[in-house]
Amino acid sequence: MSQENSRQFSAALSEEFEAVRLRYLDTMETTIIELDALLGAIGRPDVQERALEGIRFRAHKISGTAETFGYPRMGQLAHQVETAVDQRARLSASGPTKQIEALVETLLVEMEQTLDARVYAPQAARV
Amino acid sequence: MKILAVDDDETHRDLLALALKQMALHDLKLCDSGESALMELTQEATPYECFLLDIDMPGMDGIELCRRIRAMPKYELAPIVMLSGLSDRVHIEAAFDAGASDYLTKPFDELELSARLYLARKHGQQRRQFARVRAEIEDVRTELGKKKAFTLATPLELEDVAGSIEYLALENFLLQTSEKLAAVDVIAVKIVNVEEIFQKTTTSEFRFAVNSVGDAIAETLRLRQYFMAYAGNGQFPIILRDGLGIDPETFSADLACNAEELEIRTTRGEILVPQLVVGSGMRNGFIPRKANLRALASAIDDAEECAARIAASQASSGKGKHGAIDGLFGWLKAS
Repeated sequence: MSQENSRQFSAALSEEFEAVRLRYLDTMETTIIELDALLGAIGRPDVQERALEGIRFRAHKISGTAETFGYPRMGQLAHQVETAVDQRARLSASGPTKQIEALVETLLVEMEQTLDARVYAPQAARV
Repeated sequence: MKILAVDDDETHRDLLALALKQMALHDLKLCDSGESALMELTQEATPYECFLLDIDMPGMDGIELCRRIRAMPKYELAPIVMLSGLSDRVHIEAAFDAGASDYLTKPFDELELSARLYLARKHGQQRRQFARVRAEIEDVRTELGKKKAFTLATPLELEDVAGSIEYLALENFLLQTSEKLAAVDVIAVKIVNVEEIFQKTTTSEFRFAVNSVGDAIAETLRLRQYFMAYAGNGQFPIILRDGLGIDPETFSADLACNAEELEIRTTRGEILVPQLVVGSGMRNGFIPRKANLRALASAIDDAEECAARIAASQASSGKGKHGAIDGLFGWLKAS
């Protein structure tokens, strides 16, 4: 590949990465709405377990990708949520959910702030 | 390299495609579930050379998918790299149990992904090459007599031995055992007279000998959680992952009982008895990942030293020559 071709290839990849990042931010809006609804459902005993599983699933996905796009704090918070849900399941399925709820609320604030800022994070370097 | 990547997360599929494109790996097929991946595998014309599987997927998870792919004869030797955001020990162990060759924790950087794919490709080529040679050797086994499809130092896959995985997978498991995880114990068993057995047996007889020793070790550890492999040169490194520790002396005595009637009859009618020695073992945990590999190497070296002492002692006393076995099953202190 010539130097010019190589430069064009890199530029094309950067464009593709930016397109993926924008799609990611679009889906984040949906994820916020879903997480908010699941958070509200935790208080209902008939759907609590399903709500927690839904929260864990979404947190797991966020923790695996957020850092890639330059949002390490969001990734860490999501990982904390996932770990807290897993720990509760291991210790006692009917245990308290207060800590999980607090962590989800912190995560939601972080996600909303990210969407508000919508600033490209140049430190994104992990896949 | 033809790659099949399976991940239910669209963003992650996009990122994987991008990363592989950057590595000039364009022959990539993406699937969004285990079920669709299996469907793809029944339809594809040319086999895939490498698999990247997400673990945590709704429906069929990556571990079950790995097990099913590994069960397909044409993918018996294919490299399977597991991808997951979970750094949980249970998932890592389950993945290797299901036949995974390697494991990557998300998010991973391109350099790491590139290095793992390079290793996967190299490993896959070696395994295919070895399988070809093995098949050829099997075809003309009677004519070849004692010629081997492998050298004394070649790691072999133990067949149907409980807790056994490939040696490379064993190394990868240790690399993935981070400091967050509980301690593991690493110990090694060595066949002292492996050179003699190697020289006097055919390919299948040597394999039988190695498998028989593997079975004896598995029987000794039947109540424990462990992985073991055959690393070549008569060495069986073992990783005990239940954190219960191990007393090499007791282990050695139990192994001696289970291997009491172990013998290999050669086609020439000679009876060979493997002499086993157990190293003093290394406890590991809460330390950097690469130190785990050093512990593995130390455990192997330790068993090797013990075996050398036994061999030297036999040579000076005139015992142990020409397959005459004195029944020595020794655990020797490393000192």
